[in-house]
Amino acid sequence: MKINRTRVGSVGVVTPHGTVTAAEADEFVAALEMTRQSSNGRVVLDVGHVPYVDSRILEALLDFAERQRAAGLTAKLAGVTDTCREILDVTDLLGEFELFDSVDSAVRSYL
Amino acid sequence: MMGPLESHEGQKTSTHVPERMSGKARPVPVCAEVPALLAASEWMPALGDLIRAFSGWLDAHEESDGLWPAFGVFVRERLLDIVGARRTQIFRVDETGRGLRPLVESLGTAARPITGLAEHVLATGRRYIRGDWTHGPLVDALAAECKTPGPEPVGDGSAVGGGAVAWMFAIHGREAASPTTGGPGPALGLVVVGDLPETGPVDRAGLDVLANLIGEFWRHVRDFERLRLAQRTDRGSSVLNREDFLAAAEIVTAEAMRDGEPVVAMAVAMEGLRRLDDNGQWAVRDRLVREAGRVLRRKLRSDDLVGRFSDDRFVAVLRRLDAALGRLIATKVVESIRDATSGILTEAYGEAETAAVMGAHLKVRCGLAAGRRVDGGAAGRRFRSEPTDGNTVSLNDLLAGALSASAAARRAGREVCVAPETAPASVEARE
Repeated sequence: MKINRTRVGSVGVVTPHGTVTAAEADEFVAALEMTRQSSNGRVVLDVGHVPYVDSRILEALLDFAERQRAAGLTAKLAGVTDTCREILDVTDLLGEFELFDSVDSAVRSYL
Repeated sequence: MMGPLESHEGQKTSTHVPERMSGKARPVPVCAEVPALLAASEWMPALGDLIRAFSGWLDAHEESDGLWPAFGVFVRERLLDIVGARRTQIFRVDETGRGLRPLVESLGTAARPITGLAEHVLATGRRYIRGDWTHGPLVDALAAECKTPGPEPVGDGSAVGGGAVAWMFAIHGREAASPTTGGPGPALGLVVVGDLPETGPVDRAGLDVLANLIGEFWRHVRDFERLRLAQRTDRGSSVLNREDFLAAAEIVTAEAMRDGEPVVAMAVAMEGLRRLDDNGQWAVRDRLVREAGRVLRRKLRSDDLVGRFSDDRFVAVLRRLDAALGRLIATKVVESIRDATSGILTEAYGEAETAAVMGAHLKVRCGLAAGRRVDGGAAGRRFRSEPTDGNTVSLNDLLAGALSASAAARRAGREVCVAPETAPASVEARE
């Protein structure tokens, strides 16, 4: 897995590419948390390049959502594929996240 | 009801009756911007060829799993051959009725919202042809804003980007056409052509006939698929019967192995149905099975496979899931089936008896077995069960593991059991 961290204005964007293995899960969580802190919680997680969501990613996403909620913010996911949306739907976790078709629209939601 | 060769906009094209048929002089085309090189008598045989080609195509694809993508390719190629249509994209209206998905998946599977010109064409059933003055300024304004969402492969193998729309027509079902308003039936699909030759081989009437024919083909493919699905479906529960489930599941697991994705087999057992049978409560029993099938179809994802394995057992193969997530989903499936079947029992026996007797006997349990691809030495990649005991497993092994797990759940008095126990509690603990 490769993780890109970019910045669009004051918003941090984290883009993982590929599947997350057990060894990489911690790295993914750390990258997400680092971006979250450096952008004061104004962060977008672009999941458009993650082929499927397994329990490790779901766990990380829920941690992300909880931390955002604790800071009075919502967890914004961009590029949500049908595969990803279905798994959130079937596990009744869709409501935990704010979903956007693209990174641009997610970033704009912070403006 | 329109016949296959009638124009959808009959009034506008009624002047295009072929010369030989009407015995009158050839009229001026309604849409002067779509002049025809050929007389109707010359392009009509091409439509006959098209019908024969479709018949042959359907024969060749009747066993194909990718019927719709292949149909998309068929239509695109024929439109290129007959009228020189390029940058053709074909969409089906999704389940929500608010989005369009490409038939050919290489274009991407994300649904596009129905807006602008596509919304107009789908809602009214009217066709758009660039340069047709009868559209009026509003439709022309919509068309000016509309771009084909390229890039898209074209007939010569190259790819072109998005651009203006030259021709757009919708496919509608016939079953619910409004008898009072004369409006179209439910929207099924949309054909968008980016480029039509300025001097095409057929005129407006020819394009209308072609669009009507494609509509007929579309509905025929849909009916054919429904029939094929009905043949594969267990009548009691509306999920796949065992034979077809196993055949499809073999493919799914092979694809999962090829793609390196995890896969989970799930067995759902309904205990207590025999008691209903013994008491002559067959109607209630059948309703319970039907409801369980409905819940499984609804709760699982669109590309998950569900089948009826035996009288009181369902099986499913879930792609891209590990054991932990499979367990979470299984818990929700069991809850949903229990809620749904409880309502049926309450309706049949009343709350008191359901709680005291029937509810106590009817149990839903679920067993799971996870498979995943691993690097396997000289033999290459293979499946093996979890925990890793060194034995490779097949689909049959996975299903056997799931069925054993459901039996283990019964022995342990639990609703969900994973074989072997690999699910970490972290995801479940949030529920």
